Amino acid sequence: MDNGPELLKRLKQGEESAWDETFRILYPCAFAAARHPSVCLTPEEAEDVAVEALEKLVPKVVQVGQFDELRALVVTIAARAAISLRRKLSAQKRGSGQTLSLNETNEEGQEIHQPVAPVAENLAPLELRELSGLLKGVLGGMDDLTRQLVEGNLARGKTYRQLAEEHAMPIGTVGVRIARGLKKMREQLEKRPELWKELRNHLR
Amino acid sequence: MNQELFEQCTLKMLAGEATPEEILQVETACRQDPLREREFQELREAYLITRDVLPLVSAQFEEVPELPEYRVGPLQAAVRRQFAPGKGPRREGAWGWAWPLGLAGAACVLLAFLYGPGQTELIELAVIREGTVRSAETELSAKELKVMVREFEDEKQFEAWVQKPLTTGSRARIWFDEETEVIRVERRGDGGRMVQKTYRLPSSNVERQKVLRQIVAELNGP
Repeated sequence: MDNGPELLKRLKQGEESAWDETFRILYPCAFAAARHPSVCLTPEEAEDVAVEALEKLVPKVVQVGQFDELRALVVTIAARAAISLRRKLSAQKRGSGQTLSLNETNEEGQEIHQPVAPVAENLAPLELRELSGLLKGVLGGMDDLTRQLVEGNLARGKTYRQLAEEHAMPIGTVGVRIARGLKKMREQLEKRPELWKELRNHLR
Repeated sequence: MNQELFEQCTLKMLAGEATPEEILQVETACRQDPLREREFQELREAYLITRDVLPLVSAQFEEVPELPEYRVGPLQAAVRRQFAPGKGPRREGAWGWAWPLGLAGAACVLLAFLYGPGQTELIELAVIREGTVRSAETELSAKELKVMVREFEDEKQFEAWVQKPLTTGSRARIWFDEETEVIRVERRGDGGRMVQKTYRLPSSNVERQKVLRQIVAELNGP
C-alpha cells in the first residue's frame, strides 16, 4: 500500500483510484474517532459521522504536506462532528429543540453547561500529532498492567469494575494504578509548556 | 485519608463511579489540606486530557472496520465535485464523467425526459450544476438527440423534482445514477401505469452517449 508522497500527490491531482484507496485507509480512523467513549454514538451514527468527515477531508488535501497528516486531520474532524451530533441528539431527546451542552445537573437539578469532551472538541491536528508521540512514549514506559488499565479505562471507556474483573484485582488497585499512570502523563506533558498550556485552555 | 485511598477515591470520582461517601471523603480532604486540593486538580486535568485525547491517538492507526461498499459512491461524488473541471486538476478515471452539452460540474445524475412523439423537442436533459465554467467536451449534443437541457442548482432540487410524478405530456424520463452505476428509465406503460427499467451505466462518456441514444431510440419506437 502506498502511503507516501506519491499517494498524496495523486490525491492532490484528484486521481480517483488514489482517493478510493485513501478512503479505505482512513475510514477506520474516522469511525474510531466518532466512537469516542465520551461521545457514546451508536455504530450507525458513527458510520454517518465518519463518512461526513471523509467528505470534508477532500477539499483540505491541498493544505497537507504529508499523507500521515491526513490521519490526524480526519480524526479531529470526525471527533468534532461526533460531539456536535451528540449535542443535537441530546437536545432532541430533551425535546427542547435547543442545542445544549451535555452532561450533568447540579444539586438543584439545573443543567450544568459542561462540554462532553472539551479537549477532543478543540484539539488541532498538529496538537494531536504531537500528543501521539508523547503519549505513546509515556505508555511505552509503563509496566504492562498499568498501561493496559490506563488504555482500557481512558481509551476504551471500560469501567473500573470491568477492569478489576478482567485483571482479577480490587477496584481500588485499578484506581491507584491509573492515578500513577496519569501522574507520569502529566509530568511529560508539563515538559512541553506550550502544548500543555493549550490543552489546559481547551479544558476551560 | 491516606495517599492510596485518596487516589482511589479521586479516580473513581473523576470516572463517575464513586459512591456519595467516597465523594465526601475527597471533598473533605481537599478542604482540609491545600496540597490535597492541588493534587486533586492535577489529577483531574491529567485525567480529562488523557480521556479525551487517548482514543483519538489510537484512532489514527485503526484498521477496522472496512468502509461499507454503499458508502463509496457518495465519497467519489465528493471528489468529483472538488476536482470538477474549472475547480482543480483531475485525471480521467474509471468512474469519471464529464458532463455533456458543455456544462461543467460534478453532478451525480443526468436526467432526460422523453415527451410524446411528434413534438419538436422530444427529450429534455437536466443536470445538477455546481460549476460555472464551461467544459470543451461536447460529446453529447442536444441537437443530435433532440433534447432540451434543464439545470438543477443542487441535488436537493433534483431529488424533489424526481420524486414528483411525470408531468402531463411527458411519457418517460431517464437519469444516470452514478451512485449505483445504473441508468434508470421511468416511462408510462399501458393504461398510464409507470414502468421502471435499469441499464448498466458505462464508465466512459462515449459509451454513455451510445447507450443513451439507444434508450431514446427504443422509447421513441420504430
